[in-house]
Amino acid sequence: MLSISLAGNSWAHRLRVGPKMAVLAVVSVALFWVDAWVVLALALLGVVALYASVDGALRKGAWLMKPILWIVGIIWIFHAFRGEYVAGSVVCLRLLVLVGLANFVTLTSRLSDMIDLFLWLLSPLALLGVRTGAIGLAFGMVMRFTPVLIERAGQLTQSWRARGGKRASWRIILPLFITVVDDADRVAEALRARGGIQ
Amino acid sequence: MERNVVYIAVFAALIAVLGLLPKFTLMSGIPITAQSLGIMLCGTILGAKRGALAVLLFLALVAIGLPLLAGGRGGLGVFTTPWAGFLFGFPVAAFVTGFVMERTHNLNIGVLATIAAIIGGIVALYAIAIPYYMVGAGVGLWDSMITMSPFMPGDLIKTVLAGLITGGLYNARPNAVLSRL
Repeated sequence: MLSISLAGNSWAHRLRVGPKMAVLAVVSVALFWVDAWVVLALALLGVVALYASVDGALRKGAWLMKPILWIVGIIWIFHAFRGEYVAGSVVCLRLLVLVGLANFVTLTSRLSDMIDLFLWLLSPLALLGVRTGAIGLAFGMVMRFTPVLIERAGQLTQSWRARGGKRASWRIILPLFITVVDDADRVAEALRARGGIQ
Repeated sequence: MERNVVYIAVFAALIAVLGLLPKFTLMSGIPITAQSLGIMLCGTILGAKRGALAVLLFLALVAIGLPLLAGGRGGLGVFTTPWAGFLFGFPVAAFVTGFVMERTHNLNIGVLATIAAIIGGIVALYAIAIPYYMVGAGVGLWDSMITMSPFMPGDLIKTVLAGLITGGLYNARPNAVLSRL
């Protein structure tokens, strides 16, 4: 399963994930106290400069931004409709900066580092009696299962068409679920046979 | 234990797969994805706790950068928009849906699943998503409801599908519907 992050070895890739996420969190919270559109516009320029400094980040970043632009457009129109041009622009600029920064961290961080950070963040749960080993195992299973299930959904769609159905509809969901729970039972049995989840 | 963990993991994967299925278009011409149907099914089939955990697992994988949201999107950015109230509301929606499933026993399972999906997947979800959008986008209640209204007919259809699929799965594999065990 491929992550959306960019392969590469830019300055941003070389920063460690933990500090990068900490900075992102602090900046994101701080942005909510900034109400001047000029400052936010400059911040947006800064974000664009960040993307420009990493090979290929501008293109992938723009693709990730596309659905956000719709959201931004709708929000601005609703504000404009009530004559709140400045307030609308502040909300929209802040949103673009927030999403842009967050995506930049995702694009320049390796998936394995992100998983490690996540499991580290969850590790205190062990003190509450949560079996954290199960969480890491579940991460791996989802990454392994998703492509398999996408393929199976594709096969079911083809069989549906072959039997004369026009467009595969929601009707393939039930057979998909039945095969998946059968698989899940077998995987659970296999896990138990190998000593179970510690 | 093993069975619970595996079911939680495969249902997290199923939410992703449903989001990547081709969109089906409503009569009104608005495309809807089946991703929120996956959230409802986590609640109706897995029950409150396991359903919510499957959704949390799915969201965790989106956050670390896997392209599992409808349209192949993912990453940290999706959690910073005003629409993220839906994402944060998803685990609650699955929990409430599952809670209704577990606490009601004297109804046909398909009908019950539809009712549970309406309470969890629509009422509870929008109760989180609408205030979140109002704060994030800086607009009023009425404007938020207008913005979200195109999705509501699709959500109602999904609750009916959730009922049909849960009922069908219960007929085929009664032991797989963990909310009824």
